[in-house]
Amino acid sequence: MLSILESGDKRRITVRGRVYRDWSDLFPNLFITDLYTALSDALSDAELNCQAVHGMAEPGEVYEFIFKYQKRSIYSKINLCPDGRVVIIYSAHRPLKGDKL
Amino acid sequence: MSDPTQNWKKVITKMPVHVPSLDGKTIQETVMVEVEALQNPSDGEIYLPGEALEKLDAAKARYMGLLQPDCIKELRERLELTQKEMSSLLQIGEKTWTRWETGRERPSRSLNLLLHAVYDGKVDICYLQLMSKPALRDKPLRATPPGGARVPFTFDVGTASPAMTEKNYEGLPA
Repeated sequence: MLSILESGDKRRITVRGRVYRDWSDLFPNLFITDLYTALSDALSDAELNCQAVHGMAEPGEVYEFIFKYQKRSIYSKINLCPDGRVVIIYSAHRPLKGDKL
Repeated sequence: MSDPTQNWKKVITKMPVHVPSLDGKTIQETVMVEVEALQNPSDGEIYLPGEALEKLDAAKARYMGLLQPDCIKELRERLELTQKEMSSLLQIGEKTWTRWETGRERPSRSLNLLLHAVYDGKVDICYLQLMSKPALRDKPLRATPPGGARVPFTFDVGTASPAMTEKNYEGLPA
């Protein structure tokens, strides 16, 4: 998952439309590729507050986590699809339930 | 099936592209850009594949006046420099330049000004060479005139600094 996000490979990353909107609203000066960097940096953090999510419609390993980026808390949910070739980003917005998952 | 989006329905949609103010803190303008997206049949949600995201980022960069990745690469090739040498000249990380060329990252607005100036031949690459690490100073560079015409550059920084300064700074404001 990390390597896909770090590469920014457009064939291997799909982003929910509302993620694009949320990210653009939060950081109008940044690009969607900056989100990939933010997520890969967060996932590299051994102390990341992260947990598995079950029951999504799409197959794969889904995780949700909260991380800090440019002094803001961001809640994110992403899916590493089976065979590990594609990442789907479902969420990247301010936490709706505080800073706890 | 490894990629669940493969069989999702292709749809055309418009997405907002925010153009930030110069300080980057607020939205100066929003333009709508049409892209090809995917619709998840289970909940009707719209998803953006990489090509659509690339198009949206490119549109944003264009509205912000940022040099496009192909122009960034063209600039380096025109100067006949490696990515590592170009990074040293600009005093940035090598990965950063590589990412600018691929569009994986974009230069900041302030660095973009410098890139544009070099691209347009308004700032001579020799100047950057003078300011960069000593190891690069012995490599002959080519000046960067507007339009991309190549001008052989044989100046040696170590021995002819005053002459170079006179020649290359001619016409620039004091």
